[in-house]
Parts: sequence; structure tokens; C-alpha cells
Amino acid sequence: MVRHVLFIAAVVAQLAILAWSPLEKCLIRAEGTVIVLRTRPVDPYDVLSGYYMTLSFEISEPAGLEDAGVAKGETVFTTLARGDDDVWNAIGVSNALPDDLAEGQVAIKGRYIDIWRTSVIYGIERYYVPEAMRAEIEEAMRAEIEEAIRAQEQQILVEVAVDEDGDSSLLRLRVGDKVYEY
Amino acid sequence: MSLFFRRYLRHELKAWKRDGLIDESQSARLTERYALDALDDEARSTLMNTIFLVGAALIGCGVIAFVAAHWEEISRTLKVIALLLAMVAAHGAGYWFWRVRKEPRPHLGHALTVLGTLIFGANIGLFAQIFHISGDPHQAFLAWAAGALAVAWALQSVPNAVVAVGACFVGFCLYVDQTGESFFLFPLLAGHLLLPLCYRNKSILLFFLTLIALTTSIIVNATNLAGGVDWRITQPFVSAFTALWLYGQIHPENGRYPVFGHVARNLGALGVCTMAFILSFHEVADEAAWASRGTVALSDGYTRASLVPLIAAAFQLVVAGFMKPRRLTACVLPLTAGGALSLALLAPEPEIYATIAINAVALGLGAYGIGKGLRDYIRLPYWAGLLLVVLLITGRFFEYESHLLIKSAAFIAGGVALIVAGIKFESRLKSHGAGGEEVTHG
Repeated sequence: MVRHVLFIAAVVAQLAILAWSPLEKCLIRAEGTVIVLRTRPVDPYDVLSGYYMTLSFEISEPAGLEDAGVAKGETVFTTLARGDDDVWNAIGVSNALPDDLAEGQVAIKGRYIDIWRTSVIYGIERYYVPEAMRAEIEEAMRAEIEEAIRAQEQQILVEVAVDEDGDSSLLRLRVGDKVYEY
Repeated sequence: MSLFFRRYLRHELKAWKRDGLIDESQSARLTERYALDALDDEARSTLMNTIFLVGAALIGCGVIAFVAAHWEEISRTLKVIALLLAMVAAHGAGYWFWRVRKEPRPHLGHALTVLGTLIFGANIGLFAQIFHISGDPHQAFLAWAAGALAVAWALQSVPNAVVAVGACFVGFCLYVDQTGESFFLFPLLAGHLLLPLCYRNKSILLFFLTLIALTTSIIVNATNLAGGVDWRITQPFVSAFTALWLYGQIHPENGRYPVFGHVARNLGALGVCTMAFILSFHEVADEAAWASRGTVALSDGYTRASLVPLIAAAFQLVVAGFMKPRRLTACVLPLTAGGALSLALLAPEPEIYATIAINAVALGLGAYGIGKGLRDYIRLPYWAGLLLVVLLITGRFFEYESHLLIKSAAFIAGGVALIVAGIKFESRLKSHGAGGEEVTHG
């Protein structure tokens, strides 16, 4: 009997480990505020690395980081405000969750890492795509990037849910007028 | 008793009977004593285990590739349910075949539980994909290790434990690489979670892998601290190997699986001797001694990296029964060797003192090995000690500029001493009358 219980406990432990992160993400998706961020693939010439796209955001390099008193590797909170075009922009950085957020503002939690073109990571930098959709998405991204070079305006956006603790979850990708959600 | 020996004995028994050296009853007694009749079953069992485990691994790879295709026709919820069901089904079926069924099929059951753990690992990655989680990969590997370890403990399963060792070691290395921080507690934690499993399952493979993972993790911690070439890393190296040697020494000879003690002792002694040889070079000793001075404070990372393995060994000593005189005596040798080498690194200026002290320690280790081999009729320490002495002499020969006549004299003296020692050793073996029978087990 003890052996049965031990084995069941071990399998339940595996299930609990598996459930931890997805449950957290589901809660964020259910309760969080949906924001839109302007993004770009880290490498425009190699948009898809394997089965995912590594994204870099405008908020990956927020201004004022040096004054926020955050050391490398530490948690940072970037305050975002909704712009006129519905895209959210960074307006401030702090080392603690701000308690004075105005209407139309959210704080998103990240980690200060300071590598090339990325100062802060938020855990939403990777968007996985199905194998069958790789070619289509890659083509759409390239077209959008070429258009951006011509028109000086790039419309690759992601929708992200952010909860009141600053935790975030990636929802969908918008390239031009197409929406990708997997 | 090794499988090789038993197979050889079974082969020889037939010849002995044929030649009239032993009769049927003696052959039967030997067959019973060494369980020679079980050899075929054991071979079949190993083969079946291998087949089922490889099969499980292939199915695991198939599941990963299937879900990684990220098929979009199925909703997220269905994907999650399918993945969880596959994992629970593999575990459940495995347990049923192994421990519940009236006519159990343990090999198949065991392989299915391993498949369950492999699917668990795959699911961690696939859930990250489904929910677009881009966390740190080390967390995924450490989580996989935790789950695999839970099943390994629950079922006393060596393959699940091997998965845990691999996953936790990769997770540890990724942690150090990604965060740039050392994970000092890893060897301590992993050691106390994995070593008891090795003993309970009497698995040399698991024990060997665990020792390699633990020792390497101490070295990775130290190397990370160095952040490049910094000879202070020699301190944790010496400490890790000393702890390993100490662990082998305090290991009960007639208790749980004494072969583990031999593995740890030989690996530790070999490591300490190798470090002594590397440090015996003047330039290395200079650099290491210069870098090591003033770094004995507890706040220093190298000191902490050095202390962790020793604390682990001390903990094992307490577990093994600290106050037993035999165990206390057994600790003297590795502690003296490792301690002397560490102290030599802290020798006062000028640096040449450190070089002399390290060479003296290395020479002492070599001499001890030779002496132990001669005293106890064991070949391994004898030849290892001799090799160390020869390497030290050769090393100094090439290292220092001196008159060829002096070098010639040193070589001739070394060669003569070697031959005399060899003759003495063989004479002692003959006079012992064992003809080298005992020494093969050393």
C-alpha cells in the first residue's frame, strides 16, 4: 500500500510541476490587462529560429534604467502607458512595483540583463509557431520588414496580458493586418 | 562478484570437469556458490531491459517530435489533455505491469515508467511552447530532474535516477552559464538526494555518474568564479578530490556495497595526485601561490567552493559513525594529502617555497603509494606512486636548465631506484607465496 501511495505521490508531483507555469499564465490571461507592444524579430534575416521567433520590443531598452538603482540580474518594473495609436510605451522604470499607476498605465515585470539590443527581458520574447505555418509567417514578416524600410513604419505588434503584479503572458502576434494566435 | 568473472568461471568449470580436476559435486557447489545457473537469466534480463528502455526512449522522442510539430488543428486545451494523458498512461501502465499485475512483466513495466518520465520532460518544453513561456532553460531541466527523482525514489528505479542525474547536471551548468553565479549548494543537495539512491539500488553506473556530476559541479562552480584563467581554482579542485578520497576511505569495507568505496577512493586519490603533479611545475606553483595568498577568508568565493565538498564529506563521516577509531584513522591520509597541498599553496614568500613544498607533497604521495603497494601487496597504489615519482623527475628534468651531467646522474639514479624497487616488489610477492593472486583485486 505504501508503495502505491509513494508512486502516486511521485506522479502527482510531476503533474504539479507541469501545471505550475501554465496555470500562472492562464490566470494572467484571464485577469490581466491586454496591452499591445511594438516588436521586431531579433534577427530580421533569420526571422524564425527553429520553431519560434525571438522577439525584441521597444520596451526591451527602456530609458531611465541607469537611474532606477537596479543591478544586473535583478527584477525591474517598467511602467507602460497607452499611446494614441493603442501601442503601449515605456514611461518609467523602477526596482519595485509602482503603487501609483494612473488610468491607462500598467507595470510589467522583467529582469535586467543588459545584452546586445536588450536591457530587460520580460519572459515574452519567444513566440512559437506551428511547423506548417513557418513559411507563411516568415514570408509575412519579411514583407512587413521591407515595407517598414520603405515607409519608415513597421507594424509588427504583439498582444500581451499583464496582471497587477506585473507578470505577463504572450497572447498573439499581429503582422500588418494579419493576426497569428497559436 | 563481477559478471565477467562468473562467466569465465562457468567456462572454466567445464574444462576442469573434463580434465578431472574437480568432480560433479564440487562443480555443483561452485555453481551454487557463484549462482552460475542464473547467468543466462541475468543476461536475458539485461537484454530485455535494454530493448525496452531503448524502445521507451524512441517512443519518447516520437512524442516530443509529434507535439513539437505544434499541430494547429487541435485546441490548446486538447493538446494539454493529450500530453498529460500520455504521461499518466505511461506511468500507470508501467506500474501496473511492474507491481500490480498477477503475472508481472517488470522489464516492460520499468521501461514504461521511464517513458513516463521522458514524456514528463518533453511536456515541460511543450507546455512552454503551447503557453509561449520563455523562461530560463535551467529551470526546465531542474524541474525535470525533480520529477524524475521523485519517481526514482518512489520506484527505486535506476534508469529514472540516471535521467535525474543528467537533467540536474545540465540544469546546474545552464544556471551557472545563464546567471553567471555559482551554485554552491548544488553538490551538497544533489549528493544527499542521489547517493542514497545509489546504495539502495546497488548501482555502480549510477554511483559513478553521480560522483562525476558532483565533482564536475564543484569544478564548474570554481571555474565560474575564476571567470578565466585564475590559478585559485586549484583550491576547490584539491578540496573536491580530497573529499572524494575521504568519502572512499570512510566507506564501510564490509557494509553496504564496498565497491563504491573503492571507486570514490581511487578517483579522489587520482585527482589529488594529478593536482599535485600539475602544481609541481614552478610557474604553475608560483601563479597559484601568488593568487591564493589572502583568499582564505570565508567571504571569498574560492574558500566557499573549497569548503562545500569538505562539509559534505564531514557530513558523511558523521552519518558513517564519526567516533569509530578505524574511520578516524582512515581520514588521516586524504586530509594530510589534501591539507598539505592546500597549505603548500599558502607558503610564505618567496614563491619558490611553494614550489618546493608542493614538490615535497607530491613526492610524499608517490612514496606513500609505493610503500603501501609494497606493504599490502597491492599493485595499483604501487604503480600509481611509481608513475607519479617518474613524472615528477621527468617534469623537473625538462623544466629546469641545468648541466646535462647532473640530469644524467639524476636519471640514472631514478632508473636504478625504479628497477631496485621493482625487483623488491616482485620478491616480496614471491615470498608472500600468493603469486599475485590477491593483488589483482587491489
